[in-house]
Amino acid sequence: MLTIRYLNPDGSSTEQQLEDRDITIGRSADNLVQLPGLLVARQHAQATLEPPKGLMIDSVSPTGIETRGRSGLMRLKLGRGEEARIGGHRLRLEYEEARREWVLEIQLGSAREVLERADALTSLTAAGWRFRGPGLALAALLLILGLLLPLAQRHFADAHHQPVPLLPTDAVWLAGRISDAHASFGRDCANCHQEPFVRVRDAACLSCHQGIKHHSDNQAIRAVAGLDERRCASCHLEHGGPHAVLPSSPGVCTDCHATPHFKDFAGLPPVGDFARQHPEFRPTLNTLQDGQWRALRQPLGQPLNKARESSGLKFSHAAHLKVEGLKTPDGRERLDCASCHAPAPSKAAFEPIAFEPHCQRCHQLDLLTAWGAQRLPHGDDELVRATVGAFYDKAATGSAAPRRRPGESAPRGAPQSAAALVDEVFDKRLCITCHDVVREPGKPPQTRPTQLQQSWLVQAHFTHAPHGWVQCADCHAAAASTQASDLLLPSIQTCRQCHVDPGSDRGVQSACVDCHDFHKAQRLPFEQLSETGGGTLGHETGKTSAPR
Amino acid sequence: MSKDPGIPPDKVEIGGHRSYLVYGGYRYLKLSLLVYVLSIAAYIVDDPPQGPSGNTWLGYTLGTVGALLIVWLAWLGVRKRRYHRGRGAMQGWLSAHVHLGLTLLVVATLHTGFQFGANVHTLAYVLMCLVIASGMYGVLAYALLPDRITGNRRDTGFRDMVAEVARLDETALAIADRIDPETHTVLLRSVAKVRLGGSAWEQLSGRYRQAGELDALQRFIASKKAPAVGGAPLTERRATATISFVADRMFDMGGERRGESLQQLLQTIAERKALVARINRDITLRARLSAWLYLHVPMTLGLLAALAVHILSSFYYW
Repeated sequence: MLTIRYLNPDGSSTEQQLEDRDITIGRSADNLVQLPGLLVARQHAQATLEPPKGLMIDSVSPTGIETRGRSGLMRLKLGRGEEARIGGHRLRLEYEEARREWVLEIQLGSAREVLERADALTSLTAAGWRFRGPGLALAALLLILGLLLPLAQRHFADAHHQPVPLLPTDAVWLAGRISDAHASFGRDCANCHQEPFVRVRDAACLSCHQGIKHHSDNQAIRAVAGLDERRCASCHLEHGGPHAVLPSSPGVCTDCHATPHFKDFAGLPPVGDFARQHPEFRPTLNTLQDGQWRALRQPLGQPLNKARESSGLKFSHAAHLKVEGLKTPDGRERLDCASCHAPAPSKAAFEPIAFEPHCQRCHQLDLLTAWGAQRLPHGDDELVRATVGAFYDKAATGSAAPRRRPGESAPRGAPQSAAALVDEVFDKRLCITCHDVVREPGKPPQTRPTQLQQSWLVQAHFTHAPHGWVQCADCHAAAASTQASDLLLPSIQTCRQCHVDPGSDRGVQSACVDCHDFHKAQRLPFEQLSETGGGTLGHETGKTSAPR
Repeated sequence: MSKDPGIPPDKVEIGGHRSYLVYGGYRYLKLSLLVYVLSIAAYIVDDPPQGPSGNTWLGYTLGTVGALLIVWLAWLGVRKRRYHRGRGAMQGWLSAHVHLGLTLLVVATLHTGFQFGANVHTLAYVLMCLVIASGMYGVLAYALLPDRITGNRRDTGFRDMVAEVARLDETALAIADRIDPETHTVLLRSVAKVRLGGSAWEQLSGRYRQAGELDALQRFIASKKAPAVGGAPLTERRATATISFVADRMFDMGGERRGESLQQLLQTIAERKALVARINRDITLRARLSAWLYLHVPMTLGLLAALAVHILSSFYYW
């Protein structure tokens, strides 16, 4: 009916034929199936063979039966080919077709084996922790997500293939925020990084920034500064924040400009920073030397008689800014700066000063004589002379003149000729009030053409627009100025009251490029060098020339 | 990496933890101090126009030094398993690994110029920090735990302790079998439920699940014993169910020979219980000694990959 086959640890086996369907299993000798070892109860289990289902085992001992990792089972159906354990012994039920018999194979084990608990998890490795697997998985994951997928997305993405959403793109490589100016096209890295493993080429920048000029036309200056080898990105570093692409550190400029020998070389004083090592402003003045206009650049604060600004005019700011006001055709009126200096639409500078809008209301050119008055024109010496001459002729000889008896002299003080009256108008009465009058032998008197400067600091750019909240007098000492040749520009000390170097927290951080242009060459466009890879230009010589 | 944690359970090296850090007359400590001073001084002196970053000459220099350090330090893992040229050579490697590994924290941080973001570059940096942090734990663990392991072992090997538990189990079962089948059954149940070690969390926390020994056993004893003994209430709080059962028996039986056997059984079980606690303590200490390596090594592999991604992507879009 049921064969019990005992498989001993030494490989031998014995068989036992049972006639009954019901068997008992235990350690004591009264069991049909006797199992050794203290892990087996004396009466451990009862079993019934129920073909074809298998062997139904009921545990008598509370220790129970173990199968497939579950222990302490009180009832178990052991099917064909299935295995159970009792006290360290493995029980396996088979149906042998040849013998047409059910066989219960019992692989006898030792209690010691079980008690030594070989399967106990006594280390982290036994508990499933590993080194290589997780490490390689992590490495593979990082390579796929961080490198391969972004590369694939870059390679296959074009106008027709948008990047696959949710998968990483080359945006994971973005080292820092793109500047606001470039944000509109910066999403596509390839717009600037046109060739893999090659630094961003100038051509990528110049495709938008066309016509940008080099720093200097002078090849020697460029050479000593290594400028011909520099790329746009040498100074304009991207991925640094909203405005980082504009170089703000003085170091970009002072690397060259701070060196003492720079003065000998380029005619420029060394500049290390703005706060301490920036020379006084050197305005460019119109000066009159030997009757010739010359532009002369000299530092502020030099003795004024050395070189004075000449405009051909006489003017006292102090006289016009009197606190008690001025007599005007419309009564007493107090002028201020804005009475004459009207901001230009850009607010960067001011509208030019002219006679008609700014002077004429008070300064009407009326020639008053004993014969009457004549209003003269402005701006045309010839026309003035003609007008005066005509007036004289008409007044002195015409019907308008008072009748003069023979032997009676002309009115006292009256000019004896038209030319004399013209001279008087130019030299003594009207023109000379505001203008330089030039007398050359054999020629009639003339007013010197005016040269009203609009800008003095030509090497820098200054705008009044952001300075609107400052009072004019804070920078310009106009109220104390009595001469037109007074230069009312503020000293660099005035600027330093507010403006400080980048990185300082003591005022308005201001970079070199806030006042000075870098790309200021007159002729040489940037691309001309960058196209040749930064070579020298054949037509240029190495001689230095001092910039203006 | 090898499947073994590197420390055979009964061969934990101790006593060398102080010497490797000062190996060769503080040779690598001095070298690492030089690296700290040079890199920090260079960082302070250097004033790149656009601010410090990995994209300046110093940034590239620190980055190159850092990358070479990472590869070299990782190489130690390979070298360590290839050949042992004696204790001194190994100590030198380890000393250099620890000291120069710590310098990486400064070198790489200065390389970043403190520019961090949600990108592969910062990911590599974070991984590096995790590797270093786990390594620092390792240094501490190897300084503190080996002494405790030795103290807990009392000159017994781990396998010997396990074999002793098996021997005590056998003894207890034999005694119980001499008393009566019921006691034997209770012991069987107890033996089956005694566990050595456990899941990684149990090993690391030191809190091992032993509920099986208490609850099921106590329920069984209560049902079997209540009529005979008069129902002495068993509280769930009793931590030594087997011991209390045997003690109860002892007083119930009264018989002198039985009493002797029960006394023996009680001793054996108490001994086993103490031994199991010591074994589990040993497992916990060893787990805590080696746990960092299971982070250190895989994250190093991850770091090498992240480093490759960092360098390749930096120069792909140069």
